[in-house]
Amino acid sequence: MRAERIAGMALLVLLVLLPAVWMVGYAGFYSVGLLGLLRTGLTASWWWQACSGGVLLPSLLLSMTTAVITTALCLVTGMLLCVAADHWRVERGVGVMLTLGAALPVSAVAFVVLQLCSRGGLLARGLAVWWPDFQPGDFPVLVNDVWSVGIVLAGWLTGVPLTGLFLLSVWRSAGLRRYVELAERLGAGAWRARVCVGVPMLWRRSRLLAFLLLVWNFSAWEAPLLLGRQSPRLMSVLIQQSSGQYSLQDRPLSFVYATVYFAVLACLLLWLPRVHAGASGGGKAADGGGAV
Amino acid sequence: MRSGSRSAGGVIGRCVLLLSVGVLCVLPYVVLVWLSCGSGWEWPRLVPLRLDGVAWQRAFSGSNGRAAWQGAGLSLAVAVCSTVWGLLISRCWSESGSGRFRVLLYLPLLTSPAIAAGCLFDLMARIQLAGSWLGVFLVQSVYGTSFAAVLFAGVREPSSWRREQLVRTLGGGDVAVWRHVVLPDVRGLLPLCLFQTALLSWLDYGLTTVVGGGRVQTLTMRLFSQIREGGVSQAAASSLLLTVPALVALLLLRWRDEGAVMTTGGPGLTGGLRRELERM
Repeated sequence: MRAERIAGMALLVLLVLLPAVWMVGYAGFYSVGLLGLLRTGLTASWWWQACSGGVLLPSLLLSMTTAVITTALCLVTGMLLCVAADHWRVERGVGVMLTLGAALPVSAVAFVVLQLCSRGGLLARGLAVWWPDFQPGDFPVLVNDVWSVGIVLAGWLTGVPLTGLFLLSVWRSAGLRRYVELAERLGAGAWRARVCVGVPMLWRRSRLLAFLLLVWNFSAWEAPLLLGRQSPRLMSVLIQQSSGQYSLQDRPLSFVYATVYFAVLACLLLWLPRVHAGASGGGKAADGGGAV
Repeated sequence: MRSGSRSAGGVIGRCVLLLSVGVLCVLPYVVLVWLSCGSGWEWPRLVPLRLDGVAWQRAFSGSNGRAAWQGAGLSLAVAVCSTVWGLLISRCWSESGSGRFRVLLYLPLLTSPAIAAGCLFDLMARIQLAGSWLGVFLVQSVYGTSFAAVLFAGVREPSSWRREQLVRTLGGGDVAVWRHVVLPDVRGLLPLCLFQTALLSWLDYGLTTVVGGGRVQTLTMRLFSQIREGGVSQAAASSLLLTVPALVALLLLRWRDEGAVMTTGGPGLTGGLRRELERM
């Protein structure tokens, strides 16, 4: 028992705590010139350079906006699927389809989006078959574009199978169908009963999933790497590319960006207990009707 | 599970729904198979100049085949070690039962692998593990172990404690506790944990590319090289090869438990934490 506890604690420290503390601490100390090959002693010059360079804020805003839009789209689609697939046969079919979608890795999905939506991609070729005068330049810019359409599309394609499967599972295991049936018996239409009764209950139970999706979309890397623009870049791409990929002199800047990323992540994590409390409280409140 | 309620949208609506979901989820496979079947994609051809299996021959041979086998070995090692380590950590966590502990375990899971790898690279360089398989294995295990710990800590219930006490009262040692309490408790989650941690390693690009420094070649690394080099057919074949183990694992898990939620996409490990999320 004691040996098991010591082994567990040692593994916890070595494999979870040490890397976490190292990541945050190293980035923080490096960014103020206290660590690394380019250390100069305590300085705020890297922070000043990062904040006045006009790169950090646009990247941060772009990452957050993209994450919020992708998460919202995934949740809305997942809920629509869940509500519309409320029939045992359809539910099974949708479940199997979503499982197929869930098996696709982000890199593969990003590659497919690139091949479909780029100006020389399959969609543009399809249009060129119909209209012989059609040129690649006539196709709208959907990848490496200003609005990050490609990144959102790839995030949506990878997020929908997860949200769909999760929400279908919640719908089934929490027996939300009973409440919908009750609403229908009380006179609500089929669609209204699902949207006004099922969706709010589903939302209360999926808050934590929404939170995790938001964080993961904020940290997305593979899809933005393939489908994003060079400026502004999403946070993960910005940090990775400035950590010595082009110039070693940019390395301290990458740790400034990483420290900002960890600060945003910490703020989101501090928000987690509220989400958690809301989810459990809300879930219980929603089920407060008891037997139906 | 037959619904007694009126269905929203009727038969046509259901067909449209199934069709849309089908297109959404199956279209990427169709595109990948189509792209991998030939070469010579001149504008505006929708059909390749040559329909051959060259991309598939190359996918299984040379550096691609080697990268696939090496990646599979790495995934296996990460899956087994992370599962065992996560199980041990989850036992400590269950005993302390602290909410802050939970956030700590979530921290590596929530951090972008590319950013984490950028910060951990110097640590790996200091202990001379940067650019080595062991270095990549260790950083991937950080993620795998956190996931396994969160997953297994969710299954500990008061009845588990009582059974453990009973086994100890009857004279059982640690081995007996593991045999009669711990393993039966987590038996249902073991395949999920093994598959999910193996897929985490199999599909990882961020940690491998930074910590591996180009010396550690897995199939995902090859895929990105092929995309950068413009090898469309080759990249499509590699993407499918990368997807097959995930697809088999997911279908097996779904066949075993219809409510199983496991994904390989951006949100990565969230699906595996369904029970944990629902419990919250």
